[in-house]
Amino acid sequence: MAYYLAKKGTKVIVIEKREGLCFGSSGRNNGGCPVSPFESPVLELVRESLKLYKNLSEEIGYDIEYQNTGFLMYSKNEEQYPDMERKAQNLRRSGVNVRLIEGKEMRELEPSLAADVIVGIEEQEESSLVNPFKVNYGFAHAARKLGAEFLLSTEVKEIEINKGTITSVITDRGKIKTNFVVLAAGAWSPEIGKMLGLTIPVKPQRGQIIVTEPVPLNEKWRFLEEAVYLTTAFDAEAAKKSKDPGMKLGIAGAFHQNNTGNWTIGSSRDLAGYDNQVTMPTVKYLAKRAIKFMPKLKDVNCIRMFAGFRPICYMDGLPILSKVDNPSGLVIATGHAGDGVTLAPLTGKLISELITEDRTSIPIDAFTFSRFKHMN
Amino acid sequence: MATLNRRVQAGVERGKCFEIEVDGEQILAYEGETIATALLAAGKRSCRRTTKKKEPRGIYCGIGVCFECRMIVDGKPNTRVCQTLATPNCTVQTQYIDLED
Repeated sequence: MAYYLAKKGTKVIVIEKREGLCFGSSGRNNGGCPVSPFESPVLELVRESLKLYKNLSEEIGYDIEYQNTGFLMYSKNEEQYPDMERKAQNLRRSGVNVRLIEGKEMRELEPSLAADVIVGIEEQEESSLVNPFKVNYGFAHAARKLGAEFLLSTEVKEIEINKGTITSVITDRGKIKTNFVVLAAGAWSPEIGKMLGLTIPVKPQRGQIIVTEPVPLNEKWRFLEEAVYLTTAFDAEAAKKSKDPGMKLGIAGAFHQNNTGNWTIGSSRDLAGYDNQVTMPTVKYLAKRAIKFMPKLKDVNCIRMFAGFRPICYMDGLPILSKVDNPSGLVIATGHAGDGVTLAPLTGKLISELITEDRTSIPIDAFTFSRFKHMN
Repeated sequence: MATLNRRVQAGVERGKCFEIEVDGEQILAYEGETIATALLAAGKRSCRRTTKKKEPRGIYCGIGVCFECRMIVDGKPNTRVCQTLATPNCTVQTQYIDLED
């Protein structure tokens, strides 16, 4: 965001409470940017964002390790076959080039898949992996070159308002005069909202990830997710009601092998406040799930585990990308759920357009803050 | 095999002799030898290639500490061949990460 604003000639100051970048969720995810799991209106955002990612390394002069790996969503459940067919159809109707692919053919292309994987949806042109650390550092590097300032170890204490308009931000290291404040604190956004008397309906949803030692690359697919992901990610109610204990922990296989050969094994979803510990039951499920789906992973060692927070909007699950009427001068960009990295470039671009031109290049009416009028 | 025999012959009693497969090629090994021993005896010094520069890496410490001799043994990646005994018909592959450019 700092980069896109600075690019438009705006004077930007980034205030970060922690002592460095990537201390929050930007440094606690797996950098996967798929297309197929999404539906409108987020689908359009994701596709636009991935277009920006394509040439980002050259644009910002920093290698973000972008790789157009393609993406495979697969299912082992016979009952899910019609759902998968429908999903593929919907995606095709939206213009995403997907292919429904049978288990036997999948195993011919990727012999390491388990024998009980029955069907998959393959998308090759758009889905990609990036290195989330490098995305963050790269944007900061480019923004600094354009004159943006980064205040690390600096905490926002208060936001001053005069006649309904923001005038300055008070931090523990001094006061900054401004006419715009972009609230982009991810899962911590509600706390800043509280300073302004706003209820931002976002909660931290914990996700846990296992990282393995590097092993030779898969032949065909290095970015795969189980179709159960559609339930755990987009239908929290159904996941909670499920009798399957794994489902209750929001477990759905999500596997990425990045270009160093390390696998990251996710995904899980639970609400634990801001407790960023990994929990044994969840990690066990994740590991079991991974081995079931790709048996060769049983011989691969885990080298670390971590947990991070998705900023999830508990009202409708959609991001908030919006100017606010009261106080004016406030712009909110949060609630990206598990898609923060995927949507990062586009979010920056849209917010910079909102601030400098008061209109956006693609419609974002579905993501206004005024949809929570009744809460504020 | 018509290749140079690098094994010490005098005064050494060896167990059963068998073949193992290394990158599709058959080489000889004796019972009780590590895969690393069989590789060296067959004149093969490279175990894996580095990811970025694609440089060969071979047996270095020989005692399981340096992890330079990692290979894929019977499908299992990151296996230290200096710590793994050869077994009849085991398959050994050079380990590397091949990034398409």
